[in-house]
Amino acid sequence: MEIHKNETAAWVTLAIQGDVDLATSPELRGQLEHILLSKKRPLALDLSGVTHMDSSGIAVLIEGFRWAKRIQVPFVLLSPSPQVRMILELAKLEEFFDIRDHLDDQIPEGL
Amino acid sequence: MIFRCQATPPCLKSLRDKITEEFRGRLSEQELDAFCLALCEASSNVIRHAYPQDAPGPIEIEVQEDHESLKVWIRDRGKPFDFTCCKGRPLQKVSPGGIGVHIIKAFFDKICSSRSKDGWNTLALERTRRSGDGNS
Repeated sequence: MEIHKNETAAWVTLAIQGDVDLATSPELRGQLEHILLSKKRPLALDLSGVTHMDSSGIAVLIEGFRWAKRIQVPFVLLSPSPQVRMILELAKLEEFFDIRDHLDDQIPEGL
Repeated sequence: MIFRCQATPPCLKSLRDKITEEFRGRLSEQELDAFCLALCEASSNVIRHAYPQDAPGPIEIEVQEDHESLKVWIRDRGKPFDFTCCKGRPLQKVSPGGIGVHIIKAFFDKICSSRSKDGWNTLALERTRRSGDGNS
């Protein structure tokens, strides 16, 4: 798994490429924790390059959503790959997350 | 096909690569992704729960395929676990845990746990082939 970070005035975007599983999800969790709980920034996860995601990855996304909600900043999933969409559907979480095709440049309002 | 390794998180990637190499072209892409996911969830349970984190043991995954079904046996020598009693969390309740069980049960039609006298746990999984499973 590779994580590429891009910061603008409005958002921090993490583009994730490769597999998110039991071996790699702790690294993703650490990044989410740092950006959301330490920096308190709006966060978008670009999931278009994820080739596999298991339940440990989903658990990290749910934790991220909860942290974002706690500090009242937006948490967005961008363009999930078919593999991510499959597990979101299996877990019945398609409606739970804010899933978008792209971000606008406006500074987002808090939740 | 038989895959053997130490039950550690990095072995999941090797397992997916092996399954993909073996079944690409024989299952549709969607079915192959779902198969890899369900198989890795079942193997993750062994990695997380069968052995202590600092003392992983062996895991063996055997897959057999015929026109009617996909059969999998996941064997380990760790702490026994009766998967058939495990329900997972209700999906209406959003929580980080308990999703793996749903994924395994959504893909496989039959699930059976057993333990042999020589200390091997076996999780036997079977999926009846659907018309859309194959690639031909």
